[in-house]
Amino acid sequence: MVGLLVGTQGCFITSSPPVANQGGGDAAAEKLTAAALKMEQAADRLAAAADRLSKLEVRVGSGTGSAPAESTTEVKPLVSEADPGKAATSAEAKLIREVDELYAKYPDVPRVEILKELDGIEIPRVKAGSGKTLELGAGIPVDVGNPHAANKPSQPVKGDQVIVRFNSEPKSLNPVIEQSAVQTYMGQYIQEALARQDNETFEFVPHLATKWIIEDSVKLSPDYPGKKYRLILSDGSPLPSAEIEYLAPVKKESKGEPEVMKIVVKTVNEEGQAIAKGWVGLFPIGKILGAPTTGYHNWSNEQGELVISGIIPGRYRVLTGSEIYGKVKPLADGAIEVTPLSEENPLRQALPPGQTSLVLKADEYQDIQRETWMTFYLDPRAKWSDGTPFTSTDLKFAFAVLNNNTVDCDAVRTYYSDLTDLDALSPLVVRMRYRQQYFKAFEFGAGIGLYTPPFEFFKNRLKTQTTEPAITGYELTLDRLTEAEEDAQKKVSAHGKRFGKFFNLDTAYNQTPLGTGPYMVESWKKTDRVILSRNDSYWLPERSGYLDKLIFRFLPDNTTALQSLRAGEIDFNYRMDPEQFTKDLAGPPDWFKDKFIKADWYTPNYGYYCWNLNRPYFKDQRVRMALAMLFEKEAFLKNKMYDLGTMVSGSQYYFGPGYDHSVKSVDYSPETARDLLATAGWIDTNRDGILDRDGVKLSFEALIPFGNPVIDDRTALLQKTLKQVGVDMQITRIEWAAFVERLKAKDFDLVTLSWAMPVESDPFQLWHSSGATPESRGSNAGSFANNLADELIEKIRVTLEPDKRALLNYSLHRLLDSQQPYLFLYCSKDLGAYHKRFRGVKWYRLRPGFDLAEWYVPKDEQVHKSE
Amino acid sequence: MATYIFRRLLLMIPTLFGILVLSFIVIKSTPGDPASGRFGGAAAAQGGMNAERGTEDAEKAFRKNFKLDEPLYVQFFWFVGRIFRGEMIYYTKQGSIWPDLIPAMKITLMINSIVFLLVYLLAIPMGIFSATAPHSTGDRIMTLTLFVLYSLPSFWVAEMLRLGVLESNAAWNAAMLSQDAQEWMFNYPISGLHDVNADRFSLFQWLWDYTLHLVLPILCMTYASLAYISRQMRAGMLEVVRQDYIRTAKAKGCSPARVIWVHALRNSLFPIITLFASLLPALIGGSVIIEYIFNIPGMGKLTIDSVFSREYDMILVTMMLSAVLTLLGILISDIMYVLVDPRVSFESKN
Repeated sequence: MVGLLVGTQGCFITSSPPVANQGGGDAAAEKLTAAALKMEQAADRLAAAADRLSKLEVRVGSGTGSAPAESTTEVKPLVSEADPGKAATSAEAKLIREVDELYAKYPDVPRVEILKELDGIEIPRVKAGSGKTLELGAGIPVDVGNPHAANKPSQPVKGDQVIVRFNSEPKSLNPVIEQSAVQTYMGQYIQEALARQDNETFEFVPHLATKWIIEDSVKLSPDYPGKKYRLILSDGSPLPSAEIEYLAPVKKESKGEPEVMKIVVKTVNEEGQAIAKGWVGLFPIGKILGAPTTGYHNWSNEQGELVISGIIPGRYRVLTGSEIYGKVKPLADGAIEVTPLSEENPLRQALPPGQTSLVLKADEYQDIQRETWMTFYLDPRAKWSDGTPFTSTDLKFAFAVLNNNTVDCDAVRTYYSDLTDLDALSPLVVRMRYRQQYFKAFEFGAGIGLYTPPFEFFKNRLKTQTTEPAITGYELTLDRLTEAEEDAQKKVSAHGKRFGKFFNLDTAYNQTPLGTGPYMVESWKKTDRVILSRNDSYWLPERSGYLDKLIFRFLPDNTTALQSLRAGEIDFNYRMDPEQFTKDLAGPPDWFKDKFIKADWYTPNYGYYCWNLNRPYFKDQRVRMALAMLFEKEAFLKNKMYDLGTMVSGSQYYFGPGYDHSVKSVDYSPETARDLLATAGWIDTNRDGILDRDGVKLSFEALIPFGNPVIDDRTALLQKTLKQVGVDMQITRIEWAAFVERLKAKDFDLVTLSWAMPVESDPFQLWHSSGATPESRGSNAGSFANNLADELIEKIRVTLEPDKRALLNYSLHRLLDSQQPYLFLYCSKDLGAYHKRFRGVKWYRLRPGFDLAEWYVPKDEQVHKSE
Repeated sequence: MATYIFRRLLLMIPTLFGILVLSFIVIKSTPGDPASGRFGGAAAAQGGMNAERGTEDAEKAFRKNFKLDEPLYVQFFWFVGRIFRGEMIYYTKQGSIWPDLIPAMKITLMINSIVFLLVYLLAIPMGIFSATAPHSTGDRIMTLTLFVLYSLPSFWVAEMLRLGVLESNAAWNAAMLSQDAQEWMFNYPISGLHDVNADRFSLFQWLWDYTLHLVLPILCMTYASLAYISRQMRAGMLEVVRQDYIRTAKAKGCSPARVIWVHALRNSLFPIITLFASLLPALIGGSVIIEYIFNIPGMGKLTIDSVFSREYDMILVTMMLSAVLTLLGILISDIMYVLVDPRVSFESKN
């Protein structure tokens, strides 16, 4: 037996080998032999690994089968020559070439190579063919899989209704207060945005606004003639600029909140008189982790005062100056030309007659933030479902409500905290200012329509409401008033406490919100269903819905939902699990065959395992990479997900612009994983079947939320494959609220979940190192921190050019793939089944993936006749 | 008797306070809080928004608003203060819980009243029957059937019933279709309490539809209790019929019916009366499983949903309600003892 153990390096083979032929039958002996053989292979691999480390050579084609001893000693020269034979298919080569071309086009984007090998060990990748199978932006076909529709062509016609199953019920239908998935999905037929994201191209197209003009913000230098700005720091003398040191909050001796440093800044003119709403910019001196490289931008209040607080500690240069906006065109020597585009731009009036633009020399301006001023022109036809026109007053009202601290909308308020101004310039023109350059600024600005409550409706409601008797009969105003003023004038301010409380609690809008959309809320039977009925006086007839009613039933249980579909109690069973979709509907059964159509489609999401990088064993990149090779992604997708999904290797949406398709997923390869773990020093020295290093076992806990069969299955599979190479993983299932608590407290070794994201997401929240601190309860639960990642993320946020931003995202993708802070799993499909009488059915690659306003039923197949 | 009841009612106050404290501690010691329901990600993240940004600060504000970061005793007194003012709210939407609680309570109360009525109407005669003819073939068959029923898990029975109904629906409709009698096609409902179009029904149609919806859940909830109560009745009755005074009654020539219904029944009701104490809270407690399967918006579903989303107020209110009802149930069964059994009295011996 000793002979089996090849161990010239012999660093770990100290104890005697297992004794095979004593006690136990042949089977046991066989097992032991197999174990010994494995040990031998491990030893061999370790030897080879050690060898490679010293010689800087790499083994080619580490077999995924149990490699015989000879082949492991076969070493060939380094990477570049490796793998040409496996011939990345032409498609794959094309993808790589495309990215290379982009790198050539944007030399300032940090280039990151796809990780080919780690410590001399080649990273196995899944083979080509599992790449980009569907083109982004391709047209979505209609009525796929419905032969009935194909056999019987029809024209859209009004009538009938659809009953859709949702798995949970919202608490409120008020979009300001609640943003759950179900509320959003129903809300898409009620509330509308200024610009709508096209379902197929993902582009923003005019909706409530017929057009918009986007301009850049330019801050003039403090000494610009006629517009001299000064700032006063804590009652000092007026300065054109200053430097401050912002200190970290000091924990008090006694209990209570730590004291946060506050710096008061005043914006004044040369004479020391206050300038209202003056710009104050704070720019980091040197690198301050987490602070925006493009600076913090704030504006003083009406009295010219600004309190700086809650920023990342560090040294900052404080600047002030007058702000103008327009289209900025760079000229030679750092000069710029600012051209006012919108009619309403004050710069237009300020320019001398005959001049259409202003030229600024390099020393006449201090800062440019591009595309932060947005002027929207509302469609004059747009009106609420009660007939009142949709105007800029409604948007101003929305802005007041969102910024009213009493309104129960903390999430949206933080979300919109960078939209600093919203001005109604005329009933149909509204101008917004975003705090700083940000690629999502437009999305935010245009999206405010979705959170807009109707001003006239509330004005009338206040006259008769009884929720807040103290303000019954008061007139709603957008002015800021104190409570005393409110009582004196018999008015209530949308900014005030009393209105906030009324807004939170009054049922009129919370249960039957008014919108401008193609459907309106007819009724909400609590715990059962919400009924939307078609708005027959919809302002945009060409986008009007066909079905008379959209009924959403709340059936939390999947089995109940499927039974209800069968019983005809629902028409569209939305969100089935893969098991149900394939097994229960295998065949399909008779009851299903003649009546229903199965549908599967992609929405932006991906599943992952997140390693807690604060755990010593997960700190090592090699360990994470090795563990990533131990999940049988391909097999799992095939066997348990029934191919209803696609593997992913990064954190952007697979069909979105930020996903680098040239990065193939790390493949399942226990052999390579074992090598890599051995290189990282994890070897089973005491032969208890679990790897160890310095006396510590590679053993950890996987924390998973209770009640998700897919998560249960995949974690059990991971546990099994980990065990094969000697990694011990216990599974702890806990119920959701408790799970979230441990996740946020970063009290876990490994968790698994899925992210649902927009088509292009901002990677800051997930990957920026500012979220990696133990006290941060944000989304960077694994505490990933990487300087290059930070740099890329900060650039992504301020890069407005789509191609360049995509490339930055590619770089981040490649970096994340090589660092493996997550074990990226797959983007899973959404599954459903619907009645075949519905036509015009399209499955989009956005969430929720369907637009019921497009669905219709041919006249002769309509079931529910309208009276 | 009045003083006795008054004394007992007074005693309930410290007991309830104790229960309140204990419940509060139990609820607070479960990990997680309502913020997880609101900002945890599951529902919100699917909306595509909160996965992005903004939740951290929002969560901080939320926790501050509801004093979740304060010491436990502060939270407790804040809660007690609100309970006296009746200001019980959902943390996640700030609205009052009463508009949800009261309809749910009505539904559960109505369903459970029917269930209890059925159970008692069936169980008492059944128990008496098996007790009067112990070990007869009838008794054996009944015993076996009841034990089988008792051991069948209700969630399984519910699913089977639903499947059975679906199959029958399909068979019936196919038959009607082949007979060209589409107007007779009909789907027996398997979930919810009302048809989609119930609000357009006439009163009679509405009642009929409601009844159809109620049959399956009530069936599922009845059969297990039926077995239990009738066994209790049988045991109680058997014990009584063996007693001397029954033999005396028989000896003096009473008819068997008179022996059972007049002499034995009253005394054999003791175990059933004891059970009453536990019935009262169950009356509004609701059945989590059955309500979930049949999608009935009753107390069971409401409570379990509140537990999962850590709606502290709702959980505590339902706990306190069942505490009050348990204590009342005990009091009522004590009073009923006295009424049923003249040997028991309110006055102490001293």
